[in-house]
Amino acid sequence: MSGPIYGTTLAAREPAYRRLRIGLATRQAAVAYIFLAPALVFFSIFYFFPIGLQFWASLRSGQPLVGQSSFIGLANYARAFQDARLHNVFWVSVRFSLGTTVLGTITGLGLALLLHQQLRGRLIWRAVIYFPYLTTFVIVALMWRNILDPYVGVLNSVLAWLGLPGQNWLLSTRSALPTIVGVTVWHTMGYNMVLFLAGLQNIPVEFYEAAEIDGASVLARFRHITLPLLAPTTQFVTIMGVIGSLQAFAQAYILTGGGPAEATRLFVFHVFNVAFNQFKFGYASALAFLMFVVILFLTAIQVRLGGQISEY
Amino acid sequence: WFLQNGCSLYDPQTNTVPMDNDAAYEALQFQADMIHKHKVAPIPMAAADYEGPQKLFTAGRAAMILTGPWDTMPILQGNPNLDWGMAQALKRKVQATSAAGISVTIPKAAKYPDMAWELIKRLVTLETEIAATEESGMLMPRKSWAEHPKIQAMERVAPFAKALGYATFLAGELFWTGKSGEVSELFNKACEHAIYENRPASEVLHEFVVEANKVLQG
Repeated sequence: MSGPIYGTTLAAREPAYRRLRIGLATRQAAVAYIFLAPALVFFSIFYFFPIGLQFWASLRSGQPLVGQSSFIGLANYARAFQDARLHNVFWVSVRFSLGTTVLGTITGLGLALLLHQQLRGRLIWRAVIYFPYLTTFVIVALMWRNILDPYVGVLNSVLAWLGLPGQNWLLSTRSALPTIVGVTVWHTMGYNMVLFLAGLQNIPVEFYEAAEIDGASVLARFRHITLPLLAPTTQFVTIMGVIGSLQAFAQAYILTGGGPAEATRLFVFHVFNVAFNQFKFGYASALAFLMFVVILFLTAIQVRLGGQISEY
Repeated sequence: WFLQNGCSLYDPQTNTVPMDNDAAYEALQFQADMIHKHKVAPIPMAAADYEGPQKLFTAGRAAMILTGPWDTMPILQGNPNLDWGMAQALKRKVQATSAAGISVTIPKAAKYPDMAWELIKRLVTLETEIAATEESGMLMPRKSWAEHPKIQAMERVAPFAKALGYATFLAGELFWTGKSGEVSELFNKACEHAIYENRPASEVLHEFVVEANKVLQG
């Protein structure tokens, strides 16, 4: 059809416009994918490919990835569900994850609420509390191992000076897990504090002013304004907390060696030993893939639940 | 303690762990009793690396430690004025101590196995080993090294050289089964149950032997 567009009917113009829209949409998508390409390549090489390779290794016995192996299907996964030692390791990791996530969230929120006030020197306090998070956990663990030494450590020396009995922090099957939970919370509370501070700063002051005018108490303002409006931040903190804690390794490796008597044998530490101490790379790959699935499942649940709570 | 009581971690004849017996119970119980009953030893730290005993000894807070040549230099540097010496390993049924170290191997698919073998031969000559000992205090698994006058003249090395005659590996031929990693982990867990929780040695060793034999047979 020829002639200027303005001289034609709507029905006659529509195909041309549709071709124009499709062409433009395709070009825009192409531009977007071009900009996404570097990230996609990076994630493919360092995340998706290793995950695929790990799943392939989990279906084999022998020494996949480093030597000879043979296909055994899902036998490694079946073995994992029957491995009583693995069940104990998994529950240790769950308890560790619960402890660090809950305590980490509470302390982060508490510190944020405290340092959100107009206090003198609050910037210095924020920096001091955040500083441990900037330090690699290996250094933190080595430092705390010395502090917690029951014979030459600073902590028991302080307790003795206060007239209190010293504790076998990392040397008791009862206290070892809570102790490494405490060290982990100490390391990450600064990060959680910063996230909650950002969330608090996004809450309009007018809400608090209106509530105060209406006679709401501090607790009521916290419960009905702060907590609900912090829901997205809380969701993010807990999701990251669960993901990070289920992948914890250095706590067991540096602080306790997984002991005493496997009281702190975290899941990733166990996988490390299965792979590099027992040389069962196929079984270790299956365990790692199972943890990947568990974390994915928990994250999906948290996102779904958090989505319902975050609607305000 | 196990070695000095005539125990070993592995019996190649039966492919089992022969530790469900009175000698093994006595050895592990003795170690646990030193901590919980007689209170003459501290509870050990369980971690990747720990210099606790050496630090206590260097600080003059421990009268005796059981250790190897790696602690010699830290003690000398940490407290040059410390008046201390070295004694030979103890004896119950036999005088024994634990041997450990590193090994060098030629991979099956090595590109130049002959050259690798030549290098290994040069690394383990007596002259090279004595030079390494003079440089770093490292011990060598060679009888002629232990008997050499230069080694005998080294005050802080000669006692360890004398121990070469009765040092042995607790795991023995367990390494050749390909399951030493898993069995060793179970062994450590059993020992920790006795040392940290003060559970009876007979109980934890019996559990260990049952689990370890399943691993070896399976």
